[in-house]
Amino acid sequence: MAFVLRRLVQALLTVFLTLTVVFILAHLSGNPVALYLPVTASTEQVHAMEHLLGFDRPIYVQYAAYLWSAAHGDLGTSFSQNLPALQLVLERLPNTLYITLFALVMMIAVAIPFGIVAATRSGSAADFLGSGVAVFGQSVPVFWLGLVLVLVFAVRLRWFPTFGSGGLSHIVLPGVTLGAYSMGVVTRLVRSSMLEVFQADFLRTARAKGLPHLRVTLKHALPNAILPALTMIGLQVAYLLGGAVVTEQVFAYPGMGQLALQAINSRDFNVVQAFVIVVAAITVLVNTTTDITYGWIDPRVTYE
Amino acid sequence: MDSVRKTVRLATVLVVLVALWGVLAGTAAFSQNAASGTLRIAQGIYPETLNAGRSTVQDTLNVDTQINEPLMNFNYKTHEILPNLALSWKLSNPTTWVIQLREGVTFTNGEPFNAEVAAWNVNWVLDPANKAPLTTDLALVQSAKATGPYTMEVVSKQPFPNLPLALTRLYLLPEKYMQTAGADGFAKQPIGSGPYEFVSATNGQSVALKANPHYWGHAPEIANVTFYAIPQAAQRANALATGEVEMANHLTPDLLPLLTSHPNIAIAAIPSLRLMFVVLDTTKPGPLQNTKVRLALNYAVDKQAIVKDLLRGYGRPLPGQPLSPEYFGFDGTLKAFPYNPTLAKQMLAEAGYPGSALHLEFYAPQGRYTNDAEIAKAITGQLQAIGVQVTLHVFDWGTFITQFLQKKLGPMVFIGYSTQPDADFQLGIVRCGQVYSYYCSTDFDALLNKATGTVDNTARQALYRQADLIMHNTAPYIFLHQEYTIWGVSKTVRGFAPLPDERVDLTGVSVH
Repeated sequence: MAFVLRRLVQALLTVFLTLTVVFILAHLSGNPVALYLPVTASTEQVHAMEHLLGFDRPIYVQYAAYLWSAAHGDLGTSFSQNLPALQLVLERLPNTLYITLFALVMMIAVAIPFGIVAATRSGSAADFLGSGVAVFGQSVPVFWLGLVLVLVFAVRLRWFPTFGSGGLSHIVLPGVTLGAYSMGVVTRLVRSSMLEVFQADFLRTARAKGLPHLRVTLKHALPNAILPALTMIGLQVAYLLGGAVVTEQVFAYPGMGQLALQAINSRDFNVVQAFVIVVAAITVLVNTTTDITYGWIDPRVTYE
Repeated sequence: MDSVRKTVRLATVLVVLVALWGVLAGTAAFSQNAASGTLRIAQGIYPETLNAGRSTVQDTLNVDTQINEPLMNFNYKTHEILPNLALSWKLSNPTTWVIQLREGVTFTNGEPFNAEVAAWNVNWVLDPANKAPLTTDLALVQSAKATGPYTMEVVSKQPFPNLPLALTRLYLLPEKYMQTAGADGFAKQPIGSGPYEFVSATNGQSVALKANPHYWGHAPEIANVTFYAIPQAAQRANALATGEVEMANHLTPDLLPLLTSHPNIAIAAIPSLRLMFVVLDTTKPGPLQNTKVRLALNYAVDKQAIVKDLLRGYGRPLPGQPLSPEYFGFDGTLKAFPYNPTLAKQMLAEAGYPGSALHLEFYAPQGRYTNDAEIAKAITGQLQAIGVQVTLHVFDWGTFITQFLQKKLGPMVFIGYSTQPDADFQLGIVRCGQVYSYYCSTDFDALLNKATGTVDNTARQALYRQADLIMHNTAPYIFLHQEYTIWGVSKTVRGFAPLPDERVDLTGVSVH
């Protein structure tokens, strides 16, 4: 219980720090007011707009107002769309979650079997193939993979749409692109930790007792080898949410990453802040959940 | 007897034929009137608002103005203002415009359009709380009021001959609905009197419209129109090639070889209102305060080569002034500075910068204009070729424009401006103290102010020509080129013509 409380306090602190850093970074890059006026605008009109948006107040007043509103769940209004920034981000969140979830499922479905096979047949052709795919996934740049997938499967073969969201067909290519890197990381991790566990005394004993190979691998080796992979999978969620920014751009996929990039380009501070906070909150949530799950999977782990 | 029977038979056949022709013609006429088919249009961005009164972004207005139409229209070829919801307009005294409005127009919610509504719209723009960008163009306007059921009076603070042009961007909103739904409610469910009605929007992705069956003007010929947001030009080209959309805008010249070889795609391109420059900061102390240096830089840049090699011909060098023929006030007698590196070098030496004595910082954005960073690199190379030491800094658009507006960049900055097609707007950018201005000349400002208040178009044109000449002789810019607006259009679409302001006019456009 004390652990859970401690973790929650840490989580809140993380979100608060994120709020502050994002605020400072956004305001360092300058005030966006003139961007929202025509090129023929006069200096007086810019000042009037600054006043309207509150940019003429001292920075610490703006910061305090920002924190106060954030504490009340109000992350401000988008300058360009004139709608609550948080609402805009949350509207796009499901789209991003779909491809993230697809990437996550693909990562688990591919990485764990590949890792196991590569480890049990270490040095064989299967290991070579599994490790090869993993290294490829980890080293290929996201934008390049995305472009190639679009060219081959959407433009040439026309199996998938070239842009947009709407159904499973829209999710497959961005999902694969997004998940490739994480899939590589986790495959290699599962492989190496399986190999490590295979050297352990209790496995030698299990084999000496004459247990079948499959049972030794799945029942005895895997639960021990999976722990580091589990942490890694938890950490990958943050990577996937961040990676969605590039992936969504490559696939013209209207998720919150695309929104964030547009907001950065148009200096729509409140939207950028809302995006970062949503990503931070999800990351903190997933990591806290992973930590708690850890103890549940491995009884040796306690948090008292 | 036989001949009578023959005549009757012939007459019967004729009657049947005439009747049949009538039926067929009627059907044909009916099928011409009824809107049919679906048109999918890919643009670069998703509309940041569905309230036409709140945006200046052309992609946004392309969607919004199908729903909310302007008071007047503009003809780029003749520079004429054409009637739309306004039928005629005249000055009753130097500061009062009397505008006669069209009768019998209703918004799609049944709300009638009249002078009350039109005047309310002008005053809505003037109220700063409504954050309507048109307020800058209407800065000289005092107020508007209805003086009859279909007569509106607009009073300005000083003579404002350009009011009708400014009103080509006043998009009429239904007053009562705006008051009940509020600006936010309106943006969710816009209502207008235009050729198309709002159906639905998927945030970030698409806006679906359908033909307005009660439209007062040329009946829309397409039943359903959907605008898609596809950020990258290559992605829009892909969607066009696979038949996922029928039209795509803002295509870049490098994509055209791929598309022109496609059997079902045609390219439609014309010079746009976007003019490209290198801003030369004349306001801060430094070598660029010397006119001779600025003129030398104009001779040192090979505009033709940039257009030919980096834009594949989809560009037009600017004729030595910050205007193109599409703008009122353009001076056709001025010519582009020829590429003459020898003269440029000599002028620099005369100005006190022989050899490689001149060092300039040069800033450019990336991904905003066609091949922007590449063109900036080419300019850098050409200036270095005559001995100028240029350091080029390329920024992402957001960083670039924020710093540019804070006057942190310079003394050379690569940028493009697209305004309403009148010198009042495009030349007005470099008035002293304007947000985008890096130049200040009281003579120039005096000419512009005089022109702004001049009603007679011939006199106004003469004043702008003088202002153009000041620009030509003092060169606050390196005058580069005019960008093209490039559309890819499926051959199933008929009747589409691109416009210089990148507007989508679907009047007379059909899908087969």
